[in-house]
Amino acid sequence: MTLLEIRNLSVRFVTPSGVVPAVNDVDLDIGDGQCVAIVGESGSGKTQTLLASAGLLAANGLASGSVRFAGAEILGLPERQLERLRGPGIGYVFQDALGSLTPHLRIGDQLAESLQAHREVDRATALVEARRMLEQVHVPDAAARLGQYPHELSGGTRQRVAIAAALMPQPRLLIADEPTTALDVTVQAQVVDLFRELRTELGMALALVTHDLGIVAGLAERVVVMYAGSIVEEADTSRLFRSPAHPYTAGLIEALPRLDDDTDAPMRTIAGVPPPPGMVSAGCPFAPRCARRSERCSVDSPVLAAHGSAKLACHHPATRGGTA
Amino acid sequence: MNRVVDVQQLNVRFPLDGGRWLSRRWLTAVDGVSFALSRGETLGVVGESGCGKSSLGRALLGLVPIHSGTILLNGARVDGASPASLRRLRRNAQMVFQDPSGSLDPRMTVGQSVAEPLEIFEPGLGSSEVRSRIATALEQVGLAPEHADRYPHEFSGGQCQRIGIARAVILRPTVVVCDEPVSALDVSVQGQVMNLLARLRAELGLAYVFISHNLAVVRHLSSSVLVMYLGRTMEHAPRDELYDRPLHPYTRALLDAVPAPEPGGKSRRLPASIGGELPSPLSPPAGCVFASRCPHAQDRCKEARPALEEARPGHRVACHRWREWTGGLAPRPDA
Amino acid sequence: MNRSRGLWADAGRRLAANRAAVASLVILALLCVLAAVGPAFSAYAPDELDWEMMGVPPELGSGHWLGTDRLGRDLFVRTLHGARVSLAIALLATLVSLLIGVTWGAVAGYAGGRADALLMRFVDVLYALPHIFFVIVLTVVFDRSPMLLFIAIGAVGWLTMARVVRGQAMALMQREFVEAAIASGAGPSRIIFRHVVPNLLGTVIIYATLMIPQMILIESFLSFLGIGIQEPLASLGNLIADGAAEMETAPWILLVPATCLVIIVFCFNFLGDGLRDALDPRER
Ligand SMILES: Nc1ncnc2c1ncn2[C@@H]1O[C@H](COP(=O)(O)OP(=O)(O)OP(=O)(O)O)[C@@H](O)[C@H]1O
Ligand SMILES: Nc1ncnc2c1ncn2[C@@H]1O[C@H](COP(=O)(O)OP(=O)(O)O)[C@@H](O)[C@H]1O
Ligand code: SF4
Ligand code: SF4
Ligand SMILES: [Mg+2]
Ligand SMILES: [Mg+2]
Repeated sequence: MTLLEIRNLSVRFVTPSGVVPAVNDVDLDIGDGQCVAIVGESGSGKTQTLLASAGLLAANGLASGSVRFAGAEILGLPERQLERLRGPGIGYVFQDALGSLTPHLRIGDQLAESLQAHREVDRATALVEARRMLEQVHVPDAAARLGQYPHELSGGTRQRVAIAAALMPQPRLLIADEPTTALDVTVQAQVVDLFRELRTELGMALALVTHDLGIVAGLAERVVVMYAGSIVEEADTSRLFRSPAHPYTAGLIEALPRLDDDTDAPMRTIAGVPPPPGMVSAGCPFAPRCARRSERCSVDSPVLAAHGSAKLACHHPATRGGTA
Repeated sequence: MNRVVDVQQLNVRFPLDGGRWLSRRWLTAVDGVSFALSRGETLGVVGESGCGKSSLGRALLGLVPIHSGTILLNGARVDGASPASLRRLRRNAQMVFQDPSGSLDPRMTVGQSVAEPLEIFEPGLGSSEVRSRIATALEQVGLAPEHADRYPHEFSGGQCQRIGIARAVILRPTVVVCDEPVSALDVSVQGQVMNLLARLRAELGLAYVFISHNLAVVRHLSSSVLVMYLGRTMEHAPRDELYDRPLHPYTRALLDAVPAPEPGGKSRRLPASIGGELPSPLSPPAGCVFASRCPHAQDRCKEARPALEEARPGHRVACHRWREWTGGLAPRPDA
Repeated sequence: MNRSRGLWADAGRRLAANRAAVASLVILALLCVLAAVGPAFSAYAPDELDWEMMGVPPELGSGHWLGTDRLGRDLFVRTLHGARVSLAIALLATLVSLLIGVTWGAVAGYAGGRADALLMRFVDVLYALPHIFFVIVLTVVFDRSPMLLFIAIGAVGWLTMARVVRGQAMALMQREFVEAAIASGAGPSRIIFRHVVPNLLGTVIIYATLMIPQMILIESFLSFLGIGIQEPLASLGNLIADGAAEMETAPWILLVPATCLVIIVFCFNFLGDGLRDALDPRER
């Protein structure tokens, strides 16, 4: 069953210097219990796609299209109803974990509040539940943490607390925006493990934004690649890594530094720079950086089309899309 | 004389707020680190957040107080130098920072930022000479001379980092400290900046101290790698030696934590016991600082601090049990 | 699209898009021009007594467009004169507090540590003194000259400015570009005047804009109490004081200068808010 169904989602921002498009015509499905990863360069619209899906866009943001959660339309819903839907429906772990915790509230109180906002429970029960949740996300010494303030915790623990807060009302979908980017490598690995474990134990769906392909490989079933506000490729994880079809995806996978790289050769990169926000080009947005581009690419914008179970927007795919 | 950096038993401490003069508490950010570096070489410094990498890099330029130990930069002492002579030292030692746009003054044009070291150290230059030097520096890092009149906010992260590098090399220094220069960049442009740094090193004969938290990244540039934990050296070895034969459990953990992009391939799962957190730098444990997270820790590790011993020529490690856990000098454990 | 715009030009454009701020700016500019040249267009001088027309209400035909006061002095001219004096004092006082406050605060924020503690303790002590009382004593002890008045007001205003600037400077000192400049070999004066001050100018301008109306209010308050600007010189404060005495019988004598004061104060506040939005946008 499709839990989150995004159709033709576009997000624009009204700024003093004009209207800036951030997300263009995105279609995306997340099934119950499924883990979908969204990867792409910073500024490619990953965060805004998900913020719009949870009704959390900034005040100057405009979303159009349709986002259905468990069959109910989210776009245009008044704030009151959105709030009711969010906790038990969609949990959100923000890109900035410290920023999303209230600095002057003890951890226990924050967790208890996020439960009490959605369920009729007394404080004592909520605190017990909070402690249980901290244990579930492997925060060491959970009982003691309940009385601490966010700034007293290390980055990794803070991220776990932010995850616990989103999990308190037991959402069916957890959205995690770059949950490991600010963390140390060994701690990143711990958090990835945690997500994997939570999914098997709680059976929730997970939408994971990241620019770290290594994390995607270990966690997601499906990967969506975004570039300049649009989806350029979508495929099952193993497919995507085995035979990336879009030149950008292929470049991203190539560019990831590995321990077995040839150190004498220069590092593989994608030439050029990502397009500035809001730039609209006639043809393929990736054309200026693409080694496979043809005349056609700079005039005719490729559309996202299905190839078997995968989707692709490219005139000259690197490997044969879909039919394999 | 080829040696451009020589660090002996470096100790960097920061005073903590609160305490008064005598009772003041100190946080030791770098504890007894030594290494040397010659022209054309790169030392990779790796470790987790807060382990003292930046403090080490900053100490080389005299940007943080040096508590004890000696630093020689091109033969000149950095420790104990006066502010004025420190400033003179920076003519030959520059720095590249982590936050690409944050390290450029938002109110200055790119040209002004790039030319700043020039203005400071060669104040007599005419404006046309300055302009041509800016143009050369920008071209060296793959930008156009026209970019000099623009402002930093008009550039992407990767381009800002190029500007920061242009500023660092405009004086033709001998040493450049690169503090996580690609950590904030998108994967697709990280490689561009790394390749640029490699090219400049060859062209200008630079020596780098290259700081990163990712072992896969430093591997590309380094001639030797120093792994730090809680301010101390855990392991220090020539590059291939370190990657092929890590002798410290922490180095092993860092290698294991490098993302493996093949699904179903090597999973990211670590040995369960490398959970846990860094101990507080305010009260470092008595024995091995890594003991609280080390899968091979024994009682002795918690009591006595392991000395940094030379396990093989040029390969130093601080672990009581490196022989046991590696099974002698076994080849790479996962090979 | 290749034009390169600095942050200042960007801010200017954002300010231009803010209607309230632009309107305020226009009104203030008009008022300044009017205060400077307006009296010349009227047939009356500010201290000229019109014996025929004492205490007449506003009327276009009489030549006293905004009426006269009890002594038959033209209110239009007097109010413009008052506005001129009040504005001049406020601007000068703001300038003084700006110069002292920015230097003091920037040095304290740059130096940090004990120098900072010493400099700021001094500010704290002065802050703890009751300002108005301080100004009153000053004006009583010395002669009541407008010069002294603005020095006294400015001497109080720079304290806030110093605190604001010091906070900003400390934050800027933590920014990576300042460290980058230090690493490039820049010395203290270069750091302060090339990197720190230009980057806190935005905040300073906002505070200065919001400080001007405060200065006007303090000046008016003192003049209202009779210890500021003295007759026959007019300031908005003593005009309002005059008017307040006749409030019941001749309300316009109060309303004309009071309206002018309110307009000035509001305009500066709108302008300050607009500048804040323009110089300190959330995005970026
Ligand atoms: N100016 C300072 N005052 C007090 N403590 C400091 C200061 N600078 C650094 N420290 C402390 O020194 C230790 C080492 O810091 P350092 O910045 O060198 O770490 P790092 O390895 O570069 O970490 P990261 O990966 O987060 O940049 C940390 O505990 C840090 O909190
Ligand atoms: N409040 C806002 N006003 C204007 N533009 C915005 C705003 N928030 C985001 N944007 C722009 O939207 C684009 C997509 O942003 P985002 O989805 O956050 O990217 P990412 O893929 O890194 O998560 C970016 O170009 C960003 O600058
Ligand atoms: S459409 Fe053309 S330019 Fe775009 S990615 Fe495909 S080949 Fe490259
Ligand atoms: S000394 Fe002991 S605790 Fe430390 S790294 Fe070696 S085995 Fe582990
Ligand atoms: Mg984002
Ligand atoms: Mg650092």
